[in-house]
Amino acid sequence: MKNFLYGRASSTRAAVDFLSNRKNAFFLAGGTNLLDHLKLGVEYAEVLLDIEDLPERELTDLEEGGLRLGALALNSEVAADARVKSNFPMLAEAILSGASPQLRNMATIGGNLLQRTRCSFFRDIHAPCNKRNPGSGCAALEGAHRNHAILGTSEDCFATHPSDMDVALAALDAVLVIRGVTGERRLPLESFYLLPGDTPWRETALAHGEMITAVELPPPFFVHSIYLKVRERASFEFALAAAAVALEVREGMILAARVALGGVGTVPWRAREAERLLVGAFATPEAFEVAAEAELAAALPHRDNFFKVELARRTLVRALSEVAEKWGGFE
Amino acid sequence: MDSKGNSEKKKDLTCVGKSVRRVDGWPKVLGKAKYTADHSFEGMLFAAVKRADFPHARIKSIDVEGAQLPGVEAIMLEEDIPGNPRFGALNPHQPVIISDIVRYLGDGIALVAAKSEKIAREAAKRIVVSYEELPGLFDPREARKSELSIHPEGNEIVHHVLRKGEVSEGFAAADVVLERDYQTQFQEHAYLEPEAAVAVPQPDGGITVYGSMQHPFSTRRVVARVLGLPLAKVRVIQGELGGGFGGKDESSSIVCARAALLALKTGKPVKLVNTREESFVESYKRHPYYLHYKVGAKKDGTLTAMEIEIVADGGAYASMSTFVTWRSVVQATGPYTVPNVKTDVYAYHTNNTYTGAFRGFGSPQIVYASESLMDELAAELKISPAEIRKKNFYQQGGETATGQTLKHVVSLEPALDAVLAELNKKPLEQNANPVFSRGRGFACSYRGVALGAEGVDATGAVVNLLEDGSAIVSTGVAENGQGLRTVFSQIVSEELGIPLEKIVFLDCDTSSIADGGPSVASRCTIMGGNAVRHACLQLKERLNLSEQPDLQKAIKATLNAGKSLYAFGWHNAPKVSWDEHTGQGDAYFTYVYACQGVEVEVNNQTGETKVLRAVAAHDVGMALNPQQVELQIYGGVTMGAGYGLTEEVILEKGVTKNPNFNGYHIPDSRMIGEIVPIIIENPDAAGPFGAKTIGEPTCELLAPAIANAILQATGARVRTIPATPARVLHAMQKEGAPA
Amino acid sequence: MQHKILLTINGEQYENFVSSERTLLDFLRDDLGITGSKKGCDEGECGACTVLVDGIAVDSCLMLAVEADGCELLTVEGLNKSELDPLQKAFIEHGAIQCGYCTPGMLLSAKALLLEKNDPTDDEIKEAIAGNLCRCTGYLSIIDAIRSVAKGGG
Repeated sequence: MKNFLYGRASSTRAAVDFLSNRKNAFFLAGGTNLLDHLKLGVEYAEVLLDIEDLPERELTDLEEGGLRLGALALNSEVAADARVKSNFPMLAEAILSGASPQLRNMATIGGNLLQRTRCSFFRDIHAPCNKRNPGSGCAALEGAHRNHAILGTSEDCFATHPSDMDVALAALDAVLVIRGVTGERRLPLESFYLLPGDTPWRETALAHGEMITAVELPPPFFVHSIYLKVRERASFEFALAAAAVALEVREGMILAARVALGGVGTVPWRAREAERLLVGAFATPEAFEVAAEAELAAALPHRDNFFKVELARRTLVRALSEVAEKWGGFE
Repeated sequence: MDSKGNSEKKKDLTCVGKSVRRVDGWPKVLGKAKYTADHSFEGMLFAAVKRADFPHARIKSIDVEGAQLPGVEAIMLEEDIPGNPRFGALNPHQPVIISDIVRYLGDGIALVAAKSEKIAREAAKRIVVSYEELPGLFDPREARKSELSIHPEGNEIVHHVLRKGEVSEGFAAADVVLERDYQTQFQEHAYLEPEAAVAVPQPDGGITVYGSMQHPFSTRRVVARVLGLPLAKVRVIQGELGGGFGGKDESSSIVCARAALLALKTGKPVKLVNTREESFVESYKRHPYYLHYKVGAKKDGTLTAMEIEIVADGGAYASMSTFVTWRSVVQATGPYTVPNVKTDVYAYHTNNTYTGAFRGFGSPQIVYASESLMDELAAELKISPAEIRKKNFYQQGGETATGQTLKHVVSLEPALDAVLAELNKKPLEQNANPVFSRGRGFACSYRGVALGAEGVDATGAVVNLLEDGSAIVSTGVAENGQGLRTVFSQIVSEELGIPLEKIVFLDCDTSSIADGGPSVASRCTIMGGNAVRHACLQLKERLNLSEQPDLQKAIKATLNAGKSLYAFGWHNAPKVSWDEHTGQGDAYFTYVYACQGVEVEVNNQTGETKVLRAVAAHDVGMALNPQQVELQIYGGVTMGAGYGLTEEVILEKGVTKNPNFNGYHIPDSRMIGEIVPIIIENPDAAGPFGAKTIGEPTCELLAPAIANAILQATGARVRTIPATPARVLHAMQKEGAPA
Repeated sequence: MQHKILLTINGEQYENFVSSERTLLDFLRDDLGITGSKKGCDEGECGACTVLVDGIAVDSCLMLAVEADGCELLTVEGLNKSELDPLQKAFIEHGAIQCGYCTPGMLLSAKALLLEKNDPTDDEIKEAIAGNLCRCTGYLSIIDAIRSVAKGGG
């Protein structure tokens, strides 16, 4: 790692003010992704401002069962929280399906939201990569891209968003609380992530100097949900495909649905098309097939990741079926 | 499992045959065991390597100007090497660093020594090399046909043949002829400790190297050659080894030689430690094989002929390719009597990472293919996989594909029966959830012990009995983590009747013991163990223990008589033979036999495969330490599961795309539900107390067992490993299996 | 940039100057010569560098030394007091060690688990060491060793 200045922030406001005025400066929280990138040379930092002493670590109740997660709460703390486990089990499942105990003990909620792709070309500073080095090209088009995204891709970039937690948060309609020099703003997670388009280096709506201070979870409407992840190794691995599903089913009919896909999108993929088709339909295998099929109709696979279209479709159908089972099975 | 006579014999033993605890457990749990990178010396410098930027290119110039940072004490290029810059066991064409043509991305171009690792790495980064890029070859099948030659001597590294009978007649006599293609991957050893060396210059102009290596004597040979020093002036001391699995031979020698070059140049101790990424890019891998099998059989399953062609990717340098593929040519048919065999095994150079020794050494590839094939053939003939094997198994007194008569006990059938009995103890119970399908499968193998007709096979040991009845033991083969210190100490304890606590095992130091050859080929127990025993037997004779059974008194009497209690034992392997034109001969002096079975659960919708249970039966001759044997089985089975399911180094035009554990997936704690080890004992006259071997056969069987089980579960045959979800899904779609 | 840090390692106080980019692992190994924690991947994937910071298992290769200012660290060297920790004994007894390179990190992940739960299920044991890779043992003997201590009330 190259040398940098290190300091500890004493207040959120001071931290935001400080960073806004500096280039090549980063907030340091868990550091699991940032330090890795500094070692690889993917990022270059002149200043790291350690924000772990800031108070944004609490989990606080919101009205009607909603929950506010301080952005500095550790992944392991959130997954172990009784309210999360009982009201948002999908979130706990998603967090526990990712990384290792050690990393979950270090990584924060805010850091996880800002996690960057594991595309091997993005991580290899000698390879062309439009995300790391705008305009240099995309080596994955011709190269190894078995694990790349099939949804939300562009000609410039189709790197997969790696997070599990963010997929669950997408399905949970999470809202991010963001602090900037001019004050605080709220942004739904779905608007937070930017599709690569022709600016793949712009990954989120966060402006330089802004800090995610919390994630707010609206009250859970659902009783049953699941986070289902498919991968090559049983633990400590990124998803080939994942589905976060919550349904409300009454007398066989789906009244509400929240669906998001992981491991297949350039961003945590909210499956709006699937949701549209599910709501009002009866919970049948056919309906699930139709919804999954429709959601993946937009998939754009490349040479070596065609399997992901089928895998994602099957993963989604299975996740929907399992949640339907919890509601008492199919009609 | 063991015969009655053997149990009786074992009962008389006091230490051998018992699961005594590892003698080196304490320092390891205390964090005090010294691995190479844990060594530190006053005034020590740190080294870094500038490596190639292209997989195949001619170097036009090397500019080190920008690398002269404060704190940099030496920068070395090939021209600065005092000795011979090239080395290699068979073909000495591998460079320590190179200045003309780079042949893979792991090639080193310049060495830097600096006051800190950070400065050394920064300086290496600033060395500017300009190249003329050359077209590369990245597939051995292309290299076979290509006009382009990676080395002046051509792309073919070796071509082994085996000819027995006449295959055309065998196929004519067959009722069924089946042809199949299989493919295996680059596998990384993934020892947890990356390669490391600390070289310390000596006042006499010589050098001492502490290194993470499996074969201190091979390292000494390379270091002396590169430095231009006599062997006697190079002392190589093995650090505590953080895993090897066959991988710490050339990869380690190169690191040691580089550190030694810089140490000699600067006159200061130099430490060189590879990062994980450097280790992935530079160190050799398991050979990918492209295997074509054609087999003929009668309706009742009797094999009539086998024709096999194998093309191996040898990568940039020859390394051990010739030896690795030789084991393949010997064992390619599997443990089956086939009257007509024609086998050709080729290895070609490419601009991929070079390939070499890896636990199993040319067997996991052919066992995967031949044991998949046996199941495919059984299905074709509508007989059971067990029946077809039993019909054709090698028998005691029978002849192998190489024309060797097997004189020892051939325990294939007992191994298979033991596995099936354990595996099928309970009937296969399907998961209530129809998404999951379970299946069982198994695979059998035979394996030549030790080096065989590869070359000279001999080793030595010193037992230094001291006046108080304690002893110092050292051997020419080295502790690689496999438990050699423990087992050899047990042999000394048994023979001389001294407790384990009084035995000290010295780590391998090339200046204090005779070259004992490499710690490979699962040869340590059988070769080193015999050498230790020979030394003990000499001592027993000198002590006259049969007349004077009280050890203390015997020691006193012997010393008083002016005799030494320092004994050197040497063991030379029994004779073997090989005719390279026909592939006939007594390839190995003895063999081991094994069977592994597995129950898997496949997710029909996603292709994910879980190993629920594995059963492994191995004939080890005699288990000198059953606990350590079981540990070898656990570890080997798990490594085999990784080979079959998750591990693959992805090389794309010579570039390693997954050079760390986030992309290369070795098994983790959840990989396997349960492993049941079954030890079979048929003492072999060639081994100490009848012991043969265990290290390698454990890792060559699970991949085909898994492939066979996946077929039973899903109806889909995976002919390329690893069987990733994508491959299983693909195979299922092709077979029209239930989704 | 140099920082003065004050921390406790295995019960002993340390006061040192470190540069900001120094990882906790390099600080322990290279600056203090406390080499029990190992470097296997340097990116938080293998767990060989696992230490306990204020009782919690972390990968010391992904933590800066300055971040540990004011913390209490436990490394493998601090596990045994007057005698071996029950986990250390169990690892020897169950043959949970081969090459030994993963052992320090493995012991500390197990320690963190047992500090939190004295009777974990097999699944919890496997999860607790899911971030610690071992290439030799196939994990089973390690799981056995941890289970034996848990059941023994260690």
